[in-house]
Amino acid sequence: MLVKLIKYEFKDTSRIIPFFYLITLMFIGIVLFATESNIMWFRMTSSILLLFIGIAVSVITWVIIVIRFYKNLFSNEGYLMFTLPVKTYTLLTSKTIVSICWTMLSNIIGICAVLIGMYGLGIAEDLVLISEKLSEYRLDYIILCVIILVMLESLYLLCLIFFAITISNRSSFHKLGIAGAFIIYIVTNIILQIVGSLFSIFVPISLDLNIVNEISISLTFENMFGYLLDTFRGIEPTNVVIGLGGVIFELIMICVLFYITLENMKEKLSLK
Amino acid sequence: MSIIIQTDSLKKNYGSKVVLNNISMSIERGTIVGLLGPNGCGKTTLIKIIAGLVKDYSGKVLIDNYEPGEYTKSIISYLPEKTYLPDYYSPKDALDFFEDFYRDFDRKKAEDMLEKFRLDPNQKLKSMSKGMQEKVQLILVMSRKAKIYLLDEPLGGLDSASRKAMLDIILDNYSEDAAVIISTHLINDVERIFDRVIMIGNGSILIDDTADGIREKNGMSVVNLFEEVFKCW
Repeated sequence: MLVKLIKYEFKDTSRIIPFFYLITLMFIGIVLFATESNIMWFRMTSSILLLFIGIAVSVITWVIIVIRFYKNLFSNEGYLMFTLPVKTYTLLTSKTIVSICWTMLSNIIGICAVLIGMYGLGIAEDLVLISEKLSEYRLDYIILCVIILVMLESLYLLCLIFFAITISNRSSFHKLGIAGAFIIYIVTNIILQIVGSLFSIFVPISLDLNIVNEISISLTFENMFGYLLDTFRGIEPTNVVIGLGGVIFELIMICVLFYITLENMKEKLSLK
Repeated sequence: MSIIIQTDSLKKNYGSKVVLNNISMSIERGTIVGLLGPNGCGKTTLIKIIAGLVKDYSGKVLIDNYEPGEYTKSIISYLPEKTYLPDYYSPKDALDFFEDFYRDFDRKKAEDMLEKFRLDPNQKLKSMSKGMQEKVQLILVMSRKAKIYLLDEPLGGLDSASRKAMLDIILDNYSEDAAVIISTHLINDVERIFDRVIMIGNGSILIDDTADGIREKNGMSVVNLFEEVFKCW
């Protein structure tokens, strides 16, 4: 049943999202044409537009995912979805999988659009330079780390949004309507950001960036607190320490938020 | 006949408002039950609990001896009072969807009914009238060979010709050994088909009797009794 739910989720979401990819691809074509044509105002205008479109495609995808989740599960369509003879976790899992796929695809298309926009503006050389420097110091893997972190952040944000929408549909929040989801999202996010920051500072696992001598990155089992203390005291540290506790916290919270969302769908569902 | 739906001391509140108060009842297979009451009396909430759409209640609900869940959803065919199909679906899309998820869905039967009621399988629901949309939904629901049919206000907002058509769909297609619960406040059209009547007011069961029993004991029709009971409601 999970496969069938995923199939319908893809089918229904692919009515809208690819339309924005098409617009992005169209503008990529325009920028490439403008770059070849050497008409400066045309090249600059289309490149700047493409930069905005690259960012917008990710934002729009998020908006569509959020609306789809609410509409399909907690508005009228919820009467259909929650009466299907399927396990509740399959409903949530199918939406999570499909949303992550669209988010990733939108990020890739968005990044491509931004890069081509930068190329159109003539600042792509800087990116090549950065890439060469990373290779020089054997730090190419940072790009991979950034991609993994973006995926993790996307999943975390998705779980938080699904959590907020689901909790806001408990009967005690019915009076607040859609505003309830916003309030729950904001309050939960603030609390989790504070706890996540504390995890980053005090959990003894960090990245140690040597930026003075030979540029290098290594894993260390020290916390970030000492580094922050030195910074506040005005001591110039030779190394930058970035706490990884926040990442661990996010991994834990992805599981916790998913579990609470699922339990609420199973035990506290109350469709209006 | 064996009991297929049983509730015991069922209670449900929305905040401080008590919607269902101590509802205990049992419904047998092969009966058509009229769930009657004025708007806001708790009929829809009771149906939603049986369908598995409201979980935060207290008391006991058993459907074919199981609590509402995956199994009970597979034997319940539910028609909500709302339009629950995505408006960009055509009847054909909806048929595909039902065929994929319900093993007891009879596609041939649904296609025949669509044809009988002259509904275009490829027309998008958003371009259909409310009556047409409701017919499509009822056709989907009645094309399942379910053990329980829950029909919440199936006649609301329809003209008399459409109401008759809807009743025909229900009567011609429900399984004889199934329980059918019809929630309505438009009793004139449906009184004749009820085996049993449950009247709900302020979240409590006020009357629970067979349709014939009501007529004999009170010397009046179900419609008249309904009007009598809810006159000042």
